[in-house]
Amino acid sequence: MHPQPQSPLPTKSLFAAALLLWAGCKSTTYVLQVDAISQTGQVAQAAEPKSYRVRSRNPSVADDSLRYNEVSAYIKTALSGKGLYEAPSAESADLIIDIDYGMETPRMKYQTVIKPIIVLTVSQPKPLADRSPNGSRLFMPISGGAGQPIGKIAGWQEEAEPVVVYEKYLKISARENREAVEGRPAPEVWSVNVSAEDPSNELRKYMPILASATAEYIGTNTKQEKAVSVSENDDTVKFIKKGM
Amino acid sequence: MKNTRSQSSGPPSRQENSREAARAGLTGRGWFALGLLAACLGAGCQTVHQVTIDSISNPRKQIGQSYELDVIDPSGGVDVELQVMALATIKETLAARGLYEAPRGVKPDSIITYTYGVGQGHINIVTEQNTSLLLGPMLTTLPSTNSKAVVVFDKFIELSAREAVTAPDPNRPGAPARKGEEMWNIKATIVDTKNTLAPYLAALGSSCIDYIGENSGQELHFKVEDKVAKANLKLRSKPAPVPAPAAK
Repeated sequence: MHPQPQSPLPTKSLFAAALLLWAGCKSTTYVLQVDAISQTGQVAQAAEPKSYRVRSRNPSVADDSLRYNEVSAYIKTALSGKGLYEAPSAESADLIIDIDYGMETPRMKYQTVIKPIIVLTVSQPKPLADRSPNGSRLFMPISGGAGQPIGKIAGWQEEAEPVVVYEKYLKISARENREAVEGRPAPEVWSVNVSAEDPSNELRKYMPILASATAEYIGTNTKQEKAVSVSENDDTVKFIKKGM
Repeated sequence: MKNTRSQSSGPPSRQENSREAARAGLTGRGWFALGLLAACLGAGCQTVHQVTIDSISNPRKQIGQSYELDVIDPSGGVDVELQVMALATIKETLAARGLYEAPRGVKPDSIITYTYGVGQGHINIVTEQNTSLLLGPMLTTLPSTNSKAVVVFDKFIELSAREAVTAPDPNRPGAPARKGEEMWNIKATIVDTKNTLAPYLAALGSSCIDYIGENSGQELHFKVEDKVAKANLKLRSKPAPVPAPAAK
């Protein structure tokens, strides 16, 4: 009796699992700085504002441009996750939410990198092929190099390396929708500032990431700047990208 | 410097003959080496740009076939040569995408605002990888990196197409006609150490062709060879040849 051939399923499953694991590991994680402040704790629950209108706080970003609309759509999605909705008109909104986003001038900083210490050693010269004394057999050398230097890692050392970083930021702040009194604007209800500083200068790529971090902290108080990690595969990021 | 061999008289010796032959051989090989060097240099002289494209489009709007160009010249018309070149390149780019300039007196589908320029210089770190020199066993060096700070400039072109609206804003009587809704927007950038735009226009324009009216979703980066970009721009901006009527 011939042995039954083994099902290839376990190998395939293992391969698929490895692939999924690899794909999971491949997603980029971003380290962001979040600074949120809120006064909603002082407001009675029933009186908490629910409707809003957004506007651009940056004069160089037109309210009717496609790029601004894309960012504001991310923020509207983030706000919807907090139970806030867009008012049909500016007059009927409880809150006016100012949006500011952009990228600061790049700056240089030093980061510590770990580099190998490579030591050069001369390899043993490879002996020449030779015949046996009676000449019947040929001996071919199977080990040894050509006498060339070989680099070997002898250890690791830390080095300070210059790197140019770009700060990408998203700032949203909500104010009560009422007229300024004696030149003073309406009180700020909450504000969230999120930034990412790294060598990438791709602002548009970062906007859903920044907006997703914003979503987590709307109406909260971090008391100080807080570092958070956000992955591209996070549910919040997917939710923000998908939109409403 | 005198040529000593030319002064000698009588038949050349055997040694001189071999020298002559060697010289002839060297000349032949020399030409080959020169050719090889020229080919290498030619290949090395290929100018390749790293282009960044960022395009966005309004899903509710069509791309618009005819346009009116509104140019924002950073030099304020001072650099006329650049202005002419920039204008010609963008018209070729738009033609390559199938868009055409609306005739005078005809309402265009879109008003395209064209901005171009060179941004403020900023610092960047260039890391050079020193590759191994394969000159012999003892001269082989291990690869090492060398970082240095350089000032780089963003060379960019930006196109923003809006609906051609001529009706005044009903909310602001007497005010000039409001801008139409944005239909699409594209920005192409090349960052390197040069601070002149003219040599980069073809690469920037050519890179835009396939992304006009599209949504790239995020910044895209790719390499563009200058000669290929110029040829591509010329080729694609020409109207397609009208097929000849079939002979009866």
